[in-house]
Amino acid sequence: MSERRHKTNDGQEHAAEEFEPYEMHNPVPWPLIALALALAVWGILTLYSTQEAAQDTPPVQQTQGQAQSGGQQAKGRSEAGEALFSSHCATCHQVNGSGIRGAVPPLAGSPYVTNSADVPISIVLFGIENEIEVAGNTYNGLMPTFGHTLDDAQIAAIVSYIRGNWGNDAMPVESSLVSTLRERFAGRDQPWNGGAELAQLFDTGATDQTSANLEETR
Amino acid sequence: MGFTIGTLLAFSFAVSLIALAALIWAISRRQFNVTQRDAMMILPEGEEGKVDDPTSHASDGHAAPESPPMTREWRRLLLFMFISAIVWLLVGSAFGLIASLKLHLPDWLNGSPELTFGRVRTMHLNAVAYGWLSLAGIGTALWVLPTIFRTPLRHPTLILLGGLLWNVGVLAGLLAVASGWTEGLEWLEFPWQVDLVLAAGGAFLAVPLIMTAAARTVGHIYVTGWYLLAAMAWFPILFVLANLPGIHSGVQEATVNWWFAHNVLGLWLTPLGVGAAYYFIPKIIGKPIFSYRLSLIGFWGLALFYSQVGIHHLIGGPVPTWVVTLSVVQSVMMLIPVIAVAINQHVLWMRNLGAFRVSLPLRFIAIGALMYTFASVQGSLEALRVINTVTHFTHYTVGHAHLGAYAFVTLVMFGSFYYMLPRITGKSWPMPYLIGLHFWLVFLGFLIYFFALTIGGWLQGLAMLDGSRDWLESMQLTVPYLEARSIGGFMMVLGHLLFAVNVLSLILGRGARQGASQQDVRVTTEAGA
Amino acid sequence: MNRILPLVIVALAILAFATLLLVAAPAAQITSVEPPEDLQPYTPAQARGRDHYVSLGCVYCHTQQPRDPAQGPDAQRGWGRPSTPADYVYDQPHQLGTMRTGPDLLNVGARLPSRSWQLTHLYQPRAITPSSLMPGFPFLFEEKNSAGEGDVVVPVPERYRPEGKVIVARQEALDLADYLLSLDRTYEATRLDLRDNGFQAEEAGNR
Repeated sequence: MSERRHKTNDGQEHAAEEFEPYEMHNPVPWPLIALALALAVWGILTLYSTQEAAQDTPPVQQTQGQAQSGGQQAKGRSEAGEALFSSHCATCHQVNGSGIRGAVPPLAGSPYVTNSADVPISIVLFGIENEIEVAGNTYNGLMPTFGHTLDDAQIAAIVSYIRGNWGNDAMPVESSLVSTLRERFAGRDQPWNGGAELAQLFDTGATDQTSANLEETR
Repeated sequence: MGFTIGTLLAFSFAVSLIALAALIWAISRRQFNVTQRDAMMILPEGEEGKVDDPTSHASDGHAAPESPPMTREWRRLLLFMFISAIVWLLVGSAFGLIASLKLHLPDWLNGSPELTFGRVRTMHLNAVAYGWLSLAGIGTALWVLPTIFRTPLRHPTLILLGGLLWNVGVLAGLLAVASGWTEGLEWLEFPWQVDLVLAAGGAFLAVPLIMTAAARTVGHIYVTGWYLLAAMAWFPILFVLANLPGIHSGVQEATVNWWFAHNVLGLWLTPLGVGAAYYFIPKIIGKPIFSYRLSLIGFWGLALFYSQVGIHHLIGGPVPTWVVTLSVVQSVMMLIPVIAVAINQHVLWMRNLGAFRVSLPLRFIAIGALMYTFASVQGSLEALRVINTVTHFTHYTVGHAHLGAYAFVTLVMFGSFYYMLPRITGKSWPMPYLIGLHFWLVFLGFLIYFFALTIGGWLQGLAMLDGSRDWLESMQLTVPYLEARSIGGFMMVLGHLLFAVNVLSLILGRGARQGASQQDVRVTTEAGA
Repeated sequence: MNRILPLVIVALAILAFATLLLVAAPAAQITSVEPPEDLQPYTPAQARGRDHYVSLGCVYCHTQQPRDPAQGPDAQRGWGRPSTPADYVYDQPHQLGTMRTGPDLLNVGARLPSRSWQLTHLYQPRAITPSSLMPGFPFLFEEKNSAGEGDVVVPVPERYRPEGKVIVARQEALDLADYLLSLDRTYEATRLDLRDNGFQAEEAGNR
């Protein structure tokens, strides 16, 4: 890399090298050398420590949101429910269950969530589309079916979580109820047709009670 | 496994350090045949200390360089390169503005796939990177290299063919992207069939330039020549390796992608910009750079460290830890060459603020060089894991990219064009006041652009890392910043239009002959208006 | 620095060294990875959908590389576990992405598994999330007066579609939705040692 001095082609020899109008004594200023040294030390330490630590830390196996179900303690199940909710539901219904105005119905204070547990479980199992009225607003969206992607225990965890948070105060549900409902609607392969179809099949609750509940939440 | 990788890592960093140490030692001991006198070679006899600026009063008395003399053929070639570069600048920045507006007006211009955000943004990037910046840089090299080598350009017809092919390639690539035919990798979107055209064009451009260098009549290669020649050696290899169809896939392809994409900046656009600045700053001021030997650190350090930084684009991603860490460390090591270049260039123009005030080309180029320092320091910091975790995946990165590609390279190119075109055409700028307006529009526009994205992007990153906040917040909070960015972008586009109008009227024959007094210039301008 | 050949040779040697480190060495490590058992190659429809994903430039706003919990709350947001090279063996071109104007999509098929949700969202994202900045892709759909035999009608709220019309998905939209639904890397990770664990290392260092 270091090219030795040699005569330049144009014959203009550089004999008078002492005459260098702007040349400094040392072409490389010492602060730059100091910085280079400091960075070299830092670089070695960084490489060493990252490599060491990366090898010492056993990689943790994580699977997405598949929180282990079957925990008997309510607390464990609530944590699982929260994790499942945030990975499968919060995109639309929001972390605080408020939904999105004009697009996604709220879960907080919704009678569909807090009355008969059959209703929220059935909605999660099959999804729902077309009109549904919640807390005085009419929604016309569509919710996907989760019956194929979540098992009974996971659905029970989610439903228990949404029934017991953000001011909702309904009983948690057992996974056996989810399997009962699965059996009851075994032939079904499409989402519920709005609030109307739900009202035919289940007790979806009086609206009065809902608005009272909603006031409390706000 | 751990042993071999650790060894490899230690080995690679050790090699870089040893090379750097050897370089510093060799420079300190004056092992290189490089002296301050060599730095003066670009200043012809009698020009030392005189401001050389063809756009202002101070330029009076400066003639076009004697050797090599300007020929019709050379002039035609240069004008072709410059005009096509400016066309791509206008096209590219129009697409940039559309993409910027679409980010906060998502239903605007939404009826056809050609104008969907993902394609408009891609056309913007490719038009400015391969159209504007590359052609402007090559065009500048086509003037600077024969000038510093004091020999006529070899095979100008071949170069013209190369320039034509390159333009055809860029046009074909943009049409391909618009129609949805893309390789789907950032910075490598053009289909490989189009890349063949660009590669052929590039070869026709590079070979005659290297032949010109080989036929030089001066002994020493000035520092600008190091950067431009090395860039012309690096870029074809990068371009061909990364575009080979069908051999890369999955995560391995991602490492190739970012090895290439960062090297396009580091080993292609940066040398074009730094090389131009190394020539024009001392040339306009009429004094050599601060310490010519120091420029060796800037050059070899860039080669050594910049070539290994690419994988910092994949921090926290599915690539092996060691290669990410290596790129992080080398990114920080880039501080060394950057500071060397900064000392060399900034000390010179800051000690000659009189020239800075009087010369508009110098203002563009010196500010551009200053932005190189800022962009590089920001880049080094941004590569650190603790900062990258916030800025990665956000608009902050887009602000940084524009600090490098726009505020640095593009400003240097603007200044170079303003300096070269009167020398090439032998005429003065017909509307000198537009130059100042151009500067303030793009500079203020850029500041708005940059700070909007930097602040907005940082807040976006913090929101994204905060698990207690809904992800949607991180997107919603950027909207006012994206709107501000569009305002800045609009000012920049406006500046480009003024630039184009000025260049066009210069070439179309308006503007006084060089050497006529400023008075005459004004008269001609008014008469023509 | 007076000769061209040594200058160019050293410059190229440095680039070759960098290429060895950044391209060849990781390639040697990564290409030996076995495809995970639960990861299926794309079906023809999914592959066509992926081509649309690529050509429409979805990657410029969506990443496909969830981060480690030590770095960010990606898993908590439902984006999935940190990914490893094995998760991408069938991906060409890669679509890892560098920007999150939108959320990560590596597991969007598991997170939002409804085809009609995806279709509505592709037609007009603001019908689902009013503040969304994502462009709609109306040109992937047809507006018809009434649905014909075999048409996939997309449920779109009235205010987001022309009056009296129904929105029907074209093949492109169906393929794209098929691809999105196929994005599901919820099986157990393999070869976690081949991803960037630098943040885990930093966290471990702080402890």
